[in-house]
Amino acid sequence: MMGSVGLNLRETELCLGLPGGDTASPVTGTKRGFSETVDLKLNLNNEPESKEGSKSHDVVSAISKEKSSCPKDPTKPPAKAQVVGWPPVRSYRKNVMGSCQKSSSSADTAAFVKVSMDGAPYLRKIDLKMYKSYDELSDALSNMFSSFTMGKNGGEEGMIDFMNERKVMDTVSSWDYVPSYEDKDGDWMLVGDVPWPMFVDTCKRLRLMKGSDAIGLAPRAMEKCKSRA
Amino acid sequence: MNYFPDEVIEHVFDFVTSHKDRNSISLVCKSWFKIERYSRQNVFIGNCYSISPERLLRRFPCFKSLTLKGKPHFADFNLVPHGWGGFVQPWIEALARSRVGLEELRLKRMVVTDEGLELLSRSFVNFKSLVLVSCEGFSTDGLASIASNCRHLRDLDLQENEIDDHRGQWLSCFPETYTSLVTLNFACLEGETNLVALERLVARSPNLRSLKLNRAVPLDALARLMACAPQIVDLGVGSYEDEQDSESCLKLQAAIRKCTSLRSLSGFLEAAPHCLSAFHPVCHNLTSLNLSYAAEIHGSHLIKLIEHCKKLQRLWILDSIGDKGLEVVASTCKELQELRVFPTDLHGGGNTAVTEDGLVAISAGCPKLHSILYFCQQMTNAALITVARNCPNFIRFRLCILEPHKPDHVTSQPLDEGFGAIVQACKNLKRLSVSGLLTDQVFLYIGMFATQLEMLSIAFAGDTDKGMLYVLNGCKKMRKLEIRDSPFGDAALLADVNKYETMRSLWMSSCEVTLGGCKRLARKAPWLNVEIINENDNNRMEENGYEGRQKVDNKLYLYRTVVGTRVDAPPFVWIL
Repeated sequence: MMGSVGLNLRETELCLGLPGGDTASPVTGTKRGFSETVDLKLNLNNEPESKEGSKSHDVVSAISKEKSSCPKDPTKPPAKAQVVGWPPVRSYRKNVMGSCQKSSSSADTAAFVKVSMDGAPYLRKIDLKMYKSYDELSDALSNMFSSFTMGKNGGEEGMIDFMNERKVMDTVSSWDYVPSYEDKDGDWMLVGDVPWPMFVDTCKRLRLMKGSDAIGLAPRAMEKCKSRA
Repeated sequence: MNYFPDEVIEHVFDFVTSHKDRNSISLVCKSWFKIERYSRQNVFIGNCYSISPERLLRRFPCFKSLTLKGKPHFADFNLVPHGWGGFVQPWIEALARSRVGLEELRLKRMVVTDEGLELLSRSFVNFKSLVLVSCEGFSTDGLASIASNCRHLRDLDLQENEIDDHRGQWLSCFPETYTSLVTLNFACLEGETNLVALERLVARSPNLRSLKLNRAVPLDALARLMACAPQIVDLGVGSYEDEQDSESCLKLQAAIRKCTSLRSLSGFLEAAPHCLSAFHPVCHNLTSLNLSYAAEIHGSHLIKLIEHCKKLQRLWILDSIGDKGLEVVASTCKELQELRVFPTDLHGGGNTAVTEDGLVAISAGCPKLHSILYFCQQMTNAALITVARNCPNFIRFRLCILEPHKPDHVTSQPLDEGFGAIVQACKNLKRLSVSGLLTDQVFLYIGMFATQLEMLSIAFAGDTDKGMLYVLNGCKKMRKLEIRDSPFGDAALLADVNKYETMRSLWMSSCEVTLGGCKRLARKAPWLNVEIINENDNNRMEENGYEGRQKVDNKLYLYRTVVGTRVDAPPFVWIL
C-alpha cells in the first residue's frame, strides 16, 4: 500500500531496532526523517526467515542496504506512509469516521480491530486497511505472534493457509492456530472465505483459535457464505 | 489556634471546592488538615498508580466522589499497548470493602470490567453518577448491572468508550419504578437499541436533562423521544439518517420547537443535511455545538446552521468547514470560547480546507476565545504572531500541522517565532501542543515565557537536549510532559531528577534516551516509577549486552508515586 516496504527489516534489527522508533545514529542537529519513524510492526511483507525466531546477521546487513534507499528529506515524506499515533486523533474517532464516510475512498479511513490469540498474555490491535490481501494479513499476524506459535509442521508455523480452501477444510483440526473473526452480525467466522474487501468491511475482531476449538467452525462458515452470496 | 469551632471551619471549607485549593488548605496547620480530611467530598487522582486505594481511604474516609485517570494521554493514539494497566477493579474492590458512601465515579482511560460494574452497582446504596471517558474492557452486560441495581442513579455518561455491545436489553433493566435519570449518554454504543425500552425510560424521567443517542436511533424515534422530553438541555442526535418519510421530519420539527431549554447539540453521524433546518428554531439558544462526527454535513447546510447560532460558546467541527466557513463563525459567534477543528482526512494525504487564514479569522472575530485545537495542513509564523496579538487570553492552545517537520509554507523557516509569540502573549497559557518544523529555539521561548504552562505535547521537534532542558528548567508549573519522535536523550532526562517530583508524569517515545540512562534515573529517584514499555515480547535488549548504550526505541513513561512499583504490570512493561 505504501512506500514503506524498504523499511520492513528495520524492525527486526537486533541491537537498536526495536519496533516503533527511529534507529538513526544520534547525530545532533539532524532532523529525524519522517519516513524513518514509520512504525511497521504490522506490515512485515518480506520475511522469509521470520518464522524461525531469531533473526540475525542477514537482517542486519539487509537493513544497511534498505537504509540507504530510504528518503531522508524531512520536508518531503512519502505521501502514504503511516506513522503510528499520527495524526493525534483518538482511535475511537478514526473508527467512527471510517464507518460514517460512506462515499469516501476506503484508503482514507482506518479499521482497527483487536487481535487475540488463545493462550497469549495480551492482545494486539491492527488496522486492517493497512493490508491489501489475506497473505499480507497472514504474514503480519504470524510475525506479531511469532514468539507464541509453535508450528507442528516444518516451517509452516501453525498458521492456516488462507488461499488453499481444500487444505483449510481437510487439515483445520491438525493446525495449531486457526484465524477466525467476528463479523458485523456477531458471528464467528473462518478467515479467508469472503473476498478481501468484504472481509475488511465486516470484520470486527480477530481471534487466533486453537485448532481443536475451530473444528466446528468451518462448516457453519461455509453455509453462511452461501446464504450471503 | 482556631478561633472558631470545627463545625464553623468545616462550613467555610464547604465553599472551597477546587482540589488545588483544598490541598492548600490542608497544609495550613494540623487542625485544618484534620478538618479538611474528614470533610473532603470530591477526590481527584490524576494518576491511578500514584497512590493506592488503601491510602486514599485512610486520608479521606468520607468522600463521595472519586475521579481516577489511568493510562497516559498518548494511549488515545494507540501508543500504549493493550494490557498496559489502568485497571479500576482493585479500586472498586477496596471501596466496596470500606464503609465509604460512594456516590460518583468518574474514570478516564481506565480498564473497566463487567464484574467491576456489577460490584459497583451492588456495593453503594446511594450511587448516583457514573462517567466513563475513553475506557474499555466492559460490555453492555455491565451496563445492565448498573441499570438494574442503582436505584438512585442520576447519570450514566459514556464518552468515547470501547464497549462490547451484546445488543442485549440493558436499557430495559432500568426498573419501571425508576424515574431519577438526569443524564444518559450511550452514543458510543455500536449496536441496536431497544427503542421501546428507551422511549419508556425517557417518558418516565421528568428530570432528564442530557440525552445522547447512538447511531441506531432513527429519525422517527428521535421525534418521539424529543416529544417526551421537551425539557432537554443537551441532545446527541445519533445517526439522524435520511428518511424519505417527510412525516417524521414534520413531527421532528414540531417536537424541536418545544425544546426551549435546548443548549447543546451533538451527534449527526449520518446526517441528512436537508433535515438540519429542523433545528434552526432552537439554534439561537445553543451554547455548544459538536458536529465533529458529522462528515456528511458541510457546505451551505453547515453555514446556514451556524449563522443561526449567535450565542455559541463551544464549537467542535470538521475541517471541511473550510476557511470561508470559519470566517462565518468569526462573524457570527462572538461569544465563542472554545473551538476544535478536527481533520476529515485522517491519513494526511489529501487537502484540508482550513489553513492559517481560518485561524487568523477566528482570532480576529472571537475576543473571548481561550481554548483551541486546530488541525491543518499549513501554517506561517506571521499568522501565529497575528493570532497571538488578537487573542492574548489563550489557556489552551493546540496546533497540529498534519505533516511532521513542516516549515512556514511561505518563508520555509521553522515555526519557532510563531509559537514564541503565542507563549509570550498568552500569560495564562496552561496547555500547549506544538507541531511543524521546530528547533531548540521554540523551547527556549517556552521555557522563558510559559510560566503557567502545565501540559506540553511535543512531536517531531527540537534539535538537541537543550530543547528539553529549556522546558524542564523554565516551566515551573509543568505537570505533564509528553514527547515523541524528538532528539532528546539521557543528558536532558537526567539533568534535574528532582524536577520529576514536581510533575505528574513524563512520556518519551522514539527519542534518544537509552536503557542505561533510564536505569540511572530509576536509581537516583526511588520515588519515581520508571517504566519502559517494550512491545516486542522477548528480551533481546538485555541478551545482546548492548543495554547501556541501547536506545529505548520503545516507550519511557515515568511518574511520581508514593506506593512504589505497581504489581499489575504485564511482561512487556519493565519497571526499573
